[in-house]
Amino acid sequence: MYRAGIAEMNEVAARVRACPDVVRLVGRPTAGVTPLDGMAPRDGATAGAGPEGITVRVVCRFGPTVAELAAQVRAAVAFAAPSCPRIDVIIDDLEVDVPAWVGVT
Amino acid sequence: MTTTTRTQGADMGTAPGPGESRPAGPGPGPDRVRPGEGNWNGTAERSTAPARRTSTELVTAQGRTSIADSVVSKIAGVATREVSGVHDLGTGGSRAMGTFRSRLPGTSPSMSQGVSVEVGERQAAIDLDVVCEYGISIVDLSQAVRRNVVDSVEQMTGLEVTEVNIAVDDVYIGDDEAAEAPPRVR
Repeated sequence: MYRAGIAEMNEVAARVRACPDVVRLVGRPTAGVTPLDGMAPRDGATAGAGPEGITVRVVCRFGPTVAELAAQVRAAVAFAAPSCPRIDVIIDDLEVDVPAWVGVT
Repeated sequence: MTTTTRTQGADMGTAPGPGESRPAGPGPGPDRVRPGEGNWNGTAERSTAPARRTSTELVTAQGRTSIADSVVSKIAGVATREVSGVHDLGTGGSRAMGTFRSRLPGTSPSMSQGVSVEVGERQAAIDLDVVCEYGISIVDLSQAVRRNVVDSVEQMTGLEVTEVNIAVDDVYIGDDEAAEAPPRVR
């Protein structure tokens, strides 16, 4: 079972926050097992049966595709925790830049 | 008055007429999307689907990418508002609440107003409440909205959009009082 220390998870959180298209983290990254439905608990308190790894829940900027956002987050997590076998990313919300929102005055 | 047009996301050329109402078949319900992937067969019911689907990117060897409902709602809301002829989104009550909220300082208009979605692991179904502008062909508008929403959601998320239900909730006539009032100063 993959176990990450507090320092490593803090490093993961800092790296993910530094991603250019990540607005903020929702909760904290959780290490251990991933819930079956892929949605990690917000407080990281419970977990279900599933592959081991790190789960990160983020709010991102509107624009890039979900695959690009997930790749950014995975790269950041892999940089901070290179031995992690699996990185699950949950796109929790998007922040839309309202002035760029076509059709709205 | 509410006019509803409905079709499957991939069958753009067979959009129903403007008088068709929402059928009782695969309406809003848990069977519209298939959240699990264990018994999912991508070619069982959608043999005419194009091969541009990229949903396999969401589940990779490095891990899984999950998309919340609000993400799809905002993408669909922005894609709907991009279409010329769409005045607003939402039913009467939600528009009134949105107007009230927009007058509060520090708030921004809700992008997901008038949009309800059901998101599974590979598929999504979207319902839209639209206020169109007067003089616009509702059939053309609904087809344009449906095309833009399907393209945006599938491109940005990789989810397959199974259906986009559009309910034209109202027609925006225009603000006649502002046009008829003479200027106060010359």
